[in-house]
Amino acid sequence: MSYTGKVLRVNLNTGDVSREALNKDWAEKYFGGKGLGIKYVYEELREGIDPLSSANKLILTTGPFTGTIVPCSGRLALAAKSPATGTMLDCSIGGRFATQLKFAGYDMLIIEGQAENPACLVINDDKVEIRDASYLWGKSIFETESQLGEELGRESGILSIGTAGEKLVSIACIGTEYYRQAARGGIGAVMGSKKLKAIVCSGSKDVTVPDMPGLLKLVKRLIWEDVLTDANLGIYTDGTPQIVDMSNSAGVLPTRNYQDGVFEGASKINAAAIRRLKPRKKACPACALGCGNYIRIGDNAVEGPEYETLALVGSNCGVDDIEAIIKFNAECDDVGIDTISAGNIVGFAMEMTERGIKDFGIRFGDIETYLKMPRLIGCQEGMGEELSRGVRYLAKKYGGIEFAMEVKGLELPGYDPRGSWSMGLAYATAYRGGCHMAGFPIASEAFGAIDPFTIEGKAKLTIDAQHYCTIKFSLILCDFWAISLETMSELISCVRGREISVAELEKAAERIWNVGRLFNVREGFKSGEDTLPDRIFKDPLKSGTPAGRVLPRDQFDAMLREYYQLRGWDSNGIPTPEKLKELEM
Amino acid sequence: MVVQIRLHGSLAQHYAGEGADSGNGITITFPQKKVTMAQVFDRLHIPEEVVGFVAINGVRAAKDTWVTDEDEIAIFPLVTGG
Repeated sequence: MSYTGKVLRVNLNTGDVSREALNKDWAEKYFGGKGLGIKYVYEELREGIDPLSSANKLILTTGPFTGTIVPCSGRLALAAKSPATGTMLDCSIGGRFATQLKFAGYDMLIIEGQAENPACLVINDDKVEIRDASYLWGKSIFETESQLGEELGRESGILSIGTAGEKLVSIACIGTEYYRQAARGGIGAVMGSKKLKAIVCSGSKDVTVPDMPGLLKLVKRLIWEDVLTDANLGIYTDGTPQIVDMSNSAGVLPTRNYQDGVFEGASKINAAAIRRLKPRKKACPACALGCGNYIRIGDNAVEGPEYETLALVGSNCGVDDIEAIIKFNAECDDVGIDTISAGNIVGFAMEMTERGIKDFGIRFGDIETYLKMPRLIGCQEGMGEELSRGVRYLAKKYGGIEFAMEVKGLELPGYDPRGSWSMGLAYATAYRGGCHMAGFPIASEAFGAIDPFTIEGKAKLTIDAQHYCTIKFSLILCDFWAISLETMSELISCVRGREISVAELEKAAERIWNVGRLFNVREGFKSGEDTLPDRIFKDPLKSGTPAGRVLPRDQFDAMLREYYQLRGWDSNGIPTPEKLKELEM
Repeated sequence: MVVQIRLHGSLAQHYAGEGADSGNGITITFPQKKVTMAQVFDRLHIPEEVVGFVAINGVRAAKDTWVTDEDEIAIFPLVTGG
């Protein structure tokens, strides 16, 4: 089948490089990507470790489709304990790294320990070297990637960190191909704590599947009937910026630190505004959709800006200047920080200043100061030193806790829960904190036909959405393919060489979700942390569809209780022994 | 009655008339004084099952919501992620 059956383990304390068999039982039950990655994290990390110590591990996982012709299967999953939240963390990143790792002969790469001096891990099939990277330390992601590409070949997969990762900034990301990131939860700080500046991988081996003619036939059909369809082509024509108008019309576009959900400048930062800049299309390997919008303005180039950046760095900061947003985005990518958290932090600092609680010297729409922020935060200079610690830290120190827009310490992405109650539940229960990738129930609710302002059916809707994302990202299929569970079942059955039903996929998704939960329970997280910022419960939105709405706390509590019950967890949100037995855990 | 319609994402391809590039406004005249959103979909040849949601004058609407003269309508496709 399409697994290589091999795990590459690199210990940076000792310099040891070893190869071991992939745990087949776990691969059967957790598939790959997100699921397999967090299973390894759960099993291999000791309770209570410091995420920035050598005891944390950085685990890179491919999926059963990686390196095959299955569409939209090119992404890589990364997992570790999060330095931003202390929770389980998994992220994913596009580009060619995942396929190169598979072609080099490995399903997974596990990085342990901490190097004494800056290091670069270079993998070329069976040859694995830990090289000195002192000459790269201090360089930005763009500089690092350019230099390594020149030295080792531009066709290699390259992951690297910028100054932020080196300085262990809690919102540091890992970058690849200049403009793509594994961004959330401080995954770049985990890499930085290992003094690992970059990983370069190239491979020349085969990936085999049991029934190549069958897979070819299936993929040919799916490309035309399931991929290049209305449900997906918006991603090709417009990419994620199409969501700006959608969010604004639904009244959930974060505006001025979530003070409103309708932004008067939305038409200047939407898909039409991006199209006027004449973007060029880019795609990951094996992708028929090509979501990437490559834009260059002067010295600044980005792939995007994606919706989350337009929302958090744009409307949430009161900025409607698309060129300024692109510059901010490019600076974040280069210094190596997450744009969602960065935009959220800057928006918080702006509101703190305007309310006279703490003067950070920056106000909504103040573009000149705003454009200095990515460097200040990423390099921890001036006020950036404090801002880099995130909104939870800032609110605890200076006040404003009621409008610190985070869950479990992770800054919220771009969908206001007052206009999408299911999204509120999804944020509150995501194991890595305030996150839109763990479940996206808003798609069928505020962006679909379901009433956003009721709790009826929302616990089930949220769980279904979480399971959908969980299995999709464990098989490693891109978010932007609106693939059904039935089609996933068809594909994985073909690639695995045995029938895998939708029911089996759903059970695996639930099992994976429970692993994330069990990790957090082991780390001491309590049900009280499955909550939302006070603003969501108390401050009504001002405009558009949800004008006058909050998510009432009693309604949220009722939704959460039902969620626990449906998940088979006790009233404290802890998985019951019966549930774990049922899931064969 | 006359309404302004913006078709977002891939929905524009269903409309055979000019000027329907994603997000651009098109002007449509109906002989009736009011129609439902379902009738608007029909007129634009947009299958209901590919529509995510609709906003009329910036407020969420449904397929049975009435549309009247000078309304501004935004029609969005289904999305899976952001």
